[in-house]
Amino acid sequence: MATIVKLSHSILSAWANRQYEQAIGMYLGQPLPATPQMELGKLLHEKWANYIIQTGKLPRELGLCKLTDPVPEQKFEKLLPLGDDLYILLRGVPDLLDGNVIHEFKASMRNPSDFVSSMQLPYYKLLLPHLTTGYYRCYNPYTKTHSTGLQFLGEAEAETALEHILTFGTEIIDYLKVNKLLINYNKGEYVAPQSQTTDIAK
Amino acid sequence: MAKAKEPTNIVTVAAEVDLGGVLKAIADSKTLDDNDAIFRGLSSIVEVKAQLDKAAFALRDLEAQVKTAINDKAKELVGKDWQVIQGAGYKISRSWAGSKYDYDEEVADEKYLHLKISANSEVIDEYVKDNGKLPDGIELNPNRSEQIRITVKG
Repeated sequence: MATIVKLSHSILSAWANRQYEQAIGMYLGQPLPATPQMELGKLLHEKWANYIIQTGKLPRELGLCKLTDPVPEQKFEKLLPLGDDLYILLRGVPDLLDGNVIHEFKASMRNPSDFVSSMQLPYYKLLLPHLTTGYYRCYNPYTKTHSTGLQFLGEAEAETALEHILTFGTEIIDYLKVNKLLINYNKGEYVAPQSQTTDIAK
Repeated sequence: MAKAKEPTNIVTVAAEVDLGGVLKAIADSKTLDDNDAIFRGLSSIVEVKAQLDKAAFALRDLEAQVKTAINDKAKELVGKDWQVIQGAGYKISRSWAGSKYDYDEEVADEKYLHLKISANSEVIDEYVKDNGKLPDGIELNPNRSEQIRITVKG
């Protein structure tokens, strides 16, 4: 029976940044402690998604530009084989998909430069190979200003994302197995790691 | 529709100088006739350096023109608020020199200001984060000059 481990950019990036507790918490579906900034961000995201659905345009806070075929917050997933009947089910929910362009909205004081070095858009390129361009649309809710970062998405970005997933995905899976926290998405139950059985036999 | 102007700035640099050979020739020279050729060789090195300096100057000027062109095109295609463009092997960042905030010394609390008498961005950022607005006497600086930086990745 194949083992399918459900992972995402948020989980793997937290793990890669040594925020292990946060990564495992997210994997296990534990809610993150809500901060006022997170609550505000969530409200703004909902407001923007509704505006886009109603008008077909980006809201003023994000640059007010026309869109071609906007699809906000649709879930995408992809099965990545790791070998030995083990798969990663990579999931992502981009803020906005518009043809071959993807938009990620950020409500924070940080700049687009801070985000282009992350793996978020390359992960989407892996999930959606037809993408060619990604935008970080950053809105500072305190100064009411916005700024934009553009990242071209080619094969190199997809390969970088895959490498990131394989590197940190195998690490986190090993940890989950050893600590009996692995959930097989295939069956929705805990899976006892075989290696542990071998050690006990010795 | 107006056609884009053809580029006219062409910088060609081709320089080959056998520095090792020149220094060896100086060491090996024995007659005045030998020295004439060597001195001529040394002069040619200075001439090559002058040409390279000229090319470097032209390149600096060209770089400034390219950055302006990139900025204009990015504003047109990405938006006036563009801040970074990244692709395979390069990253173009736009930043602003000068203080992020401006202040009114009659109104702003001293704790929000540097000893250098300029706005303390870190303290103001914290206040904004906690209070959702700028402190009294503090405003965004509308006069920041912009810079373009191009990074090429190996």
